[in-house]
Amino acid sequence: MTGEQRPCPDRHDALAELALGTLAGQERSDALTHVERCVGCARELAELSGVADDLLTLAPLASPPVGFELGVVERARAAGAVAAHRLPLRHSRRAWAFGHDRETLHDRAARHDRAARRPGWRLAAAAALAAAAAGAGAVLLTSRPAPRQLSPAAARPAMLASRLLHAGRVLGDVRVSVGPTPWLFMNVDDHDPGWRGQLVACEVTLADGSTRRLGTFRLADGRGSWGVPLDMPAAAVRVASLVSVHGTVLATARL
Amino acid sequence: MVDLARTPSSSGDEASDEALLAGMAVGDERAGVVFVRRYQRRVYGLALGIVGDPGTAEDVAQEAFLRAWAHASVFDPRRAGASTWLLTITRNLAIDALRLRRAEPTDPADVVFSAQSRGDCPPEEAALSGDLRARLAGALAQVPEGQRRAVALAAFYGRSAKEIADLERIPLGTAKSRIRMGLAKLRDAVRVEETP
Ligand SMILES: [Zn+2]
Repeated sequence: MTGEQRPCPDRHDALAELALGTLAGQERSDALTHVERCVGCARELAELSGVADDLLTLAPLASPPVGFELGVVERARAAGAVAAHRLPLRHSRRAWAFGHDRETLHDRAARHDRAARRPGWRLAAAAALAAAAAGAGAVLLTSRPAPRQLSPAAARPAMLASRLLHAGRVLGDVRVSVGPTPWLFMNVDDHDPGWRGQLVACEVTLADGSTRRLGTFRLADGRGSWGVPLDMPAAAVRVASLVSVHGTVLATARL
Repeated sequence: MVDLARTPSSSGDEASDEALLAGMAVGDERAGVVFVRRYQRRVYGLALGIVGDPGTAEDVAQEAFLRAWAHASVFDPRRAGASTWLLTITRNLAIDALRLRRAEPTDPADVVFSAQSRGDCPPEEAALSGDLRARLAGALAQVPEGQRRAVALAAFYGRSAKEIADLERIPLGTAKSRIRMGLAKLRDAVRVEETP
């Protein structure tokens, strides 16, 4: 046993906060860098993290409303038998391998009509269309859980969907409705911590090779969803990109 | 790959968490239902304890199960138990929901203490170790009030030391040391009793 490796006294505060997941920014990266090199602190962190996790089991039990489990299953089905559900966690590539790069979600929605009650993107679409009807331009959709008052039947546009990729990692998705008033939605679910709070832009590359900036939105708390009506045919959009305001391409989706 | 139809219990009720997650990873709905039934009270309870609103808690709890389902294939039992993993997902989603509503946390003691006096660990959740919960709850009761609140605000509500200092109207250094000392006491209590 290398048992007597003690944590560094000046790191005690940071280790506790790291274990509880409440350390951020420079403090967090400093602490993580140190833990990678220090056996004593690494052990301490592992122990404290275990306690922090176990604390969650102390919350009181409560029975969810009747039908809860069916709701989960229906949503899993609507998300494409789970596989195509958008996720912010790290290793989602395998899950996505069950999905399709490009598909008309309308077809799937028809197959799973009853099951597809509350997929997040459809609510986003409904919200966007409501905003369009009200004469608004781009809408920023960061609300999650999705607003409950929207009728899921309010919008059933056919959608093209594609994964938003950064270095092979799925960060979210881009969806383009192909109705008479086409919309583009960009959902970012998993972005580099360094992007937190960043203002980002959505750009599209068209069939003729030209690039257009559709607008900007801000990433907050790891995610952002954004939609804009297209003043071009949906089919003209070949690539949608998430771009830093300085012009660096952060992620792309091929439509 | 797990074929629940061939496990001893045709309903899958006796399957391990790992077996259920393996089934869910390949789209086995029955495995998913059993998993949801096994943990729904705990997941919904945690979500409700944090967000305080039944509708939001239901959304959070459903989302937590969906995420667990979609990530079942990458679940790594060496890193954490399935229940720990699921509850961590739930906590993070609940904190997100709480921040979206800009709600202030209810008294953190509410989340923890309403549970403490009850021995409410249903038999189907034996994997969660009611024994460990009892020891942790006992240790938490011994921790001084200020430290207990600080740990609960961080653990359940994701509050940073700075936010805790503001909420509790105490200096940042005091908040940090309360978090550290409270968590260390819990760790010591659990560790001592784990030694054979
Ligand atoms: Zn160290």
